[in-house]
Parts: sequence; C-alpha cells; structure tokens
Amino acid sequence: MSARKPEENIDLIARLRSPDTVRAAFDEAMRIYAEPLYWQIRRLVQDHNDADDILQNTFMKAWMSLENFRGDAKLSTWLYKIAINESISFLERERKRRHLSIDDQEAEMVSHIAADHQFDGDELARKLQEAVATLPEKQRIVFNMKYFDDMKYEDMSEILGTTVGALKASYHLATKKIEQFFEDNN
Amino acid sequence: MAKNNENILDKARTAGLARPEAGMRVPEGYFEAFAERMSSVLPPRPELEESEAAAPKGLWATVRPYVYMAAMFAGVWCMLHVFHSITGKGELAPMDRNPVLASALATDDFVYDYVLPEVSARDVVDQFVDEGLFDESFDMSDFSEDLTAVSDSNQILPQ
Repeated sequence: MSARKPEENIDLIARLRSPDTVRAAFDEAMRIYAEPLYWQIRRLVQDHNDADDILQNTFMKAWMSLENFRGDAKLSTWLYKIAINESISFLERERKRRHLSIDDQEAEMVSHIAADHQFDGDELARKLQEAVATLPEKQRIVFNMKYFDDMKYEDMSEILGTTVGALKASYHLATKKIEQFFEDNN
Repeated sequence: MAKNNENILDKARTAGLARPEAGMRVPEGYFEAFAERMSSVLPPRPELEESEAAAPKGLWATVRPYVYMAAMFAGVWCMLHVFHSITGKGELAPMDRNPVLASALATDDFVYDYVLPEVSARDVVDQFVDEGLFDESFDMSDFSEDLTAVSDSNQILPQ
C-alpha cells in the first residue's frame, strides 16, 4: 500500500474530527485509500464484483462508525482492519450460503483464477495467484500484506492484532507452501 | 528444479509481480469514479456534520447536568439514611419491646453462658445493694459459691 506522508495523514485526521470538514475529508480518504484497500480485498476474494461490494461495505461501515476512530492510530490501519474483517465475513458467508468447506472454497478460487477474464498476467503470475489461493485464509492475508503491499510487520501487527513474531512465522510458512506448490505443479 | 523453485518468489518479484495489482484487471475508470459513486450513497450524519454551537440547546439539555448532580446527592443521602437505620446506633430498643431477648434472658443457661461471664457476682451484689433490693427474703446462698471464689477477705458483705 502506497503510504501517504504522516503529515498529510494527521491533517486528514484533524479534518475528519471537525464537523465543518468531516464530509469533505471522508471523500478525500476514499480517494486516497480506495485503491490499496481494493487490491487487498481483491486478492482475498478474487472476483472484482465481490471486491467492489466489500470495498463499498468497508467505507460505509467506516462512515457510520467514524466517531469510533480515536485518531491515535493511523487512519489506514483502521480502514484496513474494517476491510479485512469484511473480507473474512464475506468468505464465511459464502461458505455457509453454498455449503462449501474451506478446501472447496480454496479449490474454487484456484479454478476461478484460471477462467478469470479479468486476469492480466503471464503464466508465472497465474501460477503465483493460484499458489496464494491455496494458502489458509489468515496466512493468505499475511502473505498478501507482506509480499504484495510490502507492509511493515509492525503495521500488520496493529491491523491483525497478532504479534510480530507470529506474523513472521506465518509469512515464512506461507512462502514455504508457495515454493512447494510450484515444485508440485512444475 | 528445487533450486529453481527455491527462488520462485524472488523471480516473481524481479518480474514485477510483487505489486498489489499484479496480474489483475479492473474496469476502466473504476477507481476514479469510486469515491464519487460512494459519496452519493453515504447517508447524512447530522451528529457528525453539525457543530454543537450551531444546534440550539433545549431547556432540558441546559438543566440536565444540574438535575443529575442533585439526583446523585439525593441518592448518597438516602444511602446514608438507610445504613444509619440498619445499624440502629443510639436507638437501642427497650428490652420489653424485644420479646426474643427478654425470653432469652429469662433462661438461666443463657445468662450464665452469655451474660454472667462478663459480669462478676460481686458487681451484681453491689448493684443490688445500691438499688436497695436486699431484704429479709433475699437468699445470699445463690451467690455464696461465686463470692467465695472471687471474694477478697477485706470486703464487707451484707448479712
């Protein structure tokens, strides 16, 4: 996720807390954070339409609970938390609605990648996406944040509420599984 | 092959795949239009968007803090009053209004077990003397054993 300068973030947070500027500030927050949040969501759920729905839900929830944002944490951290929770809730709802096991859902994601007309990459990119789709949900989140967003472990720890050590271990396991996937599928 | 796969993530990174959007497409203009589209569906939130100075304060909003404070003091006073009533300090009921205690004191065992250990027989005799309760019908033998046990030979006992 491309990080804005802290100064800009502080100013945005201050404007979010002022009744006169809250609406305009929230619109600006959407312009800044929609794309990075979208990609994080999209890598979890794969489908564009689903990612769009979840992104809208994320900002709706953020708007409706803006008073809960204390301002002592980064705005991006708070929004990421909502987005991750919404994504996980979506996947759980889909599993229940369609009576899928976690393995079935992962297998479906892998086959969705193969058939996805919105996929835009070469064979390596496709294989990498398929490998990531086979990871357990939490590991997938950690891997996406670290590998694709190049997020610091400290920031991830704040978002996911997990220790840095656990996150490092989770990422290490994820990379090993991806390497194994490539070995098995070469 | 193992060595090949060992660096697969580094290879992917070199190929420019370690980016959030790598390998995925979105509809044209999606992000540009998203904020505007989203803003149009966000409901108004007057509690966030209207400053307190702009909103007129009603009479209740003005007096509410004082009412709450008065209620708090009244509650504390009531609690103290109730505790005072329960402990009953300084309000000992006369014994004739406490039939349970009166019947217990009528029992010798109760008196010997709970009353007399704190009261010496000499104290009782002295009180009787003070109150003029000694007369010809009074039987001192009831006290003789106790008085003998604790008596001081210099004490003058009524005959």
